[in-house]
Amino acid sequence: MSLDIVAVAGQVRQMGQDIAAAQSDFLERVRWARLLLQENSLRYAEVAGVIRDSREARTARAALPVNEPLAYRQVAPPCPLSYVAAAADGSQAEPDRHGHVAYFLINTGSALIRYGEQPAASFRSIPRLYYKHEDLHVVEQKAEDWPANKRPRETQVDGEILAMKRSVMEIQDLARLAENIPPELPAILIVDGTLTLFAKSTGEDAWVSEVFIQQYQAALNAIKETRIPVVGFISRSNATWVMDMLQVGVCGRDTRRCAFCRQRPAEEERDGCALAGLRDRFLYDGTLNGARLSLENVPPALLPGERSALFQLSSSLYQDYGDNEPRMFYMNSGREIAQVQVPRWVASDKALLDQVHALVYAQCLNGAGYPTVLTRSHEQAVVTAADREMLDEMVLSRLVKLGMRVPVSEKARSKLVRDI
Amino acid sequence: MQTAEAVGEVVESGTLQFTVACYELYAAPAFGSLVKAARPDNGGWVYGLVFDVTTGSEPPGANVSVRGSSGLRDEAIYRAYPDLPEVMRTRFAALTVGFTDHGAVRQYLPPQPPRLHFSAHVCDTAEVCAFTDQLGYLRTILTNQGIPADELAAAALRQARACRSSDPTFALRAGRQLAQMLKEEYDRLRAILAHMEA
Repeated sequence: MSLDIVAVAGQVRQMGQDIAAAQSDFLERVRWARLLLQENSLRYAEVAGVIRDSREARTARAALPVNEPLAYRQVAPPCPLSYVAAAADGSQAEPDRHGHVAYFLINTGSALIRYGEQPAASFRSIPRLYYKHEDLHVVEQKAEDWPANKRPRETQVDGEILAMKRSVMEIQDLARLAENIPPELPAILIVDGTLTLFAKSTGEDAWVSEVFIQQYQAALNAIKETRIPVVGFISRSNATWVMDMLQVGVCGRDTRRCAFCRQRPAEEERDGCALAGLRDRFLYDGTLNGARLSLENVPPALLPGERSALFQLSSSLYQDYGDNEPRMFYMNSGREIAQVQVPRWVASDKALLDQVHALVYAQCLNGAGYPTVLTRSHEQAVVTAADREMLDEMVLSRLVKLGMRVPVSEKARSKLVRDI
Repeated sequence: MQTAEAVGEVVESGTLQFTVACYELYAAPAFGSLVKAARPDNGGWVYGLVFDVTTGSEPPGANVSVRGSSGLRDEAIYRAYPDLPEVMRTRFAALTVGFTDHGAVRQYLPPQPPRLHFSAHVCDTAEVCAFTDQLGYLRTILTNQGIPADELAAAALRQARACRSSDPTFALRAGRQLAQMLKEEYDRLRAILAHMEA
């Protein structure tokens, strides 16, 4: 049955009313967060120490100030007349357990654009089809200290593993692109999303992530050798790194000590730190929910092109990244607050960091708020539902021509034809 | 006869017309030009007259947003956005007006249209002269309602006349042929004759 839109309409009305009712409290909480950032701005070294020494040091996902005041802002440096921007993106057609044949597809797209003198652009799209047993399964890598009789573990590639594999291929493509960039030109390499591999596998399945993390870091190291800065660009980030930094490093999540939290109504849903649930971008966004947020005696939001202070992302997830350990700042792209991640080796070089800032903003200006080169790489990578359907038909047609019988599962068959 | 370098690739093909995607942006042949694409059956050519040239996104469907601003106009826009030529494509549609059959020119619809992905070429002077020696193709143009027929006829005749600088009688022959085809549409005839003048 299709969605009963009439039944949902009433819930949508209620949702709108609840959101509107919470707006006033939300804006007050944002105001408080900005005040905290401003008032504690010069205590950045002390805040970093508190976070490192806290009980949450190993588990907290709090931003650590690096060497800039918490409320630091910097205007975008001038963009060089000529520069190169390159990006890689990937898309996937996931294994269909109910389909004719087990396979999946990863399509990587890349774009390299040269601006200024001798402007040029080149795009590439590479589809890769995986269907062999060794492609459809991840096998644990043998360690040197294994006992002789230990067999490597094996697991089937699913959506989560496919996403890791795709991320690895994107960064490997970026490393290959870097080799084609003239060394004399300022350049930047951009990926969509974080600069680290998002690996959910934990506990018993941690070995699965390890396989891909090693490949990912090898590609990052290859990029580092070129000395071309690599950047992870996150549009409209929902992260709470800096908010968590304020909670852990400034107020310690102690609502009894907090002047703001003490005066809030003790309603059930408002129990807890006032900063909980607030996104970092609210600290820097001058226009919230469509209304211009006018705050007295609080730091103004980032103006177009400005970046925030640089922060380290403290999490045990990144401890093995070495020189590629992520740092980040927020930047007003002209249309939104984006999070920009860079590896430690870029962040520790002021000239490279300024180059990143200048070129990322130039790309956002060029692309009306989002880096042009990322848009183009995405266009090269995208696999639509129609593409997937065409691929399925191509596979089926080929196998049928070879005389093979390739039935679908009963579940898939029931979706193809509706019986009444 | 040596064939000129291809200008593009057939991306839509039918009995009545075919569409070519150009290799180079904005490098489509002029409106009214005679073009050809290989016949799939016997090694000859299918001839078409260019009646519509368009430039848009590749693949089609993207919005065209304003890129200019004060200080950034025209060619400067392409320098500031070097990725644009890579995501745009010029195409032209050609009205099928004839084909070759074992070397002989036929001015009626071919048995088969050109193949997709085969090259399209602009006909050279000698080919235009050879094809336009007969004027039967004018009827194909004038009776077609889905194209700017009168303008196309005039443009094609201008091209044919330009190939025959040493034949002053061509314009008279073409005029008589048009008069015979449009004997009950005097206004149309007058307009086409006026536009035939180079």
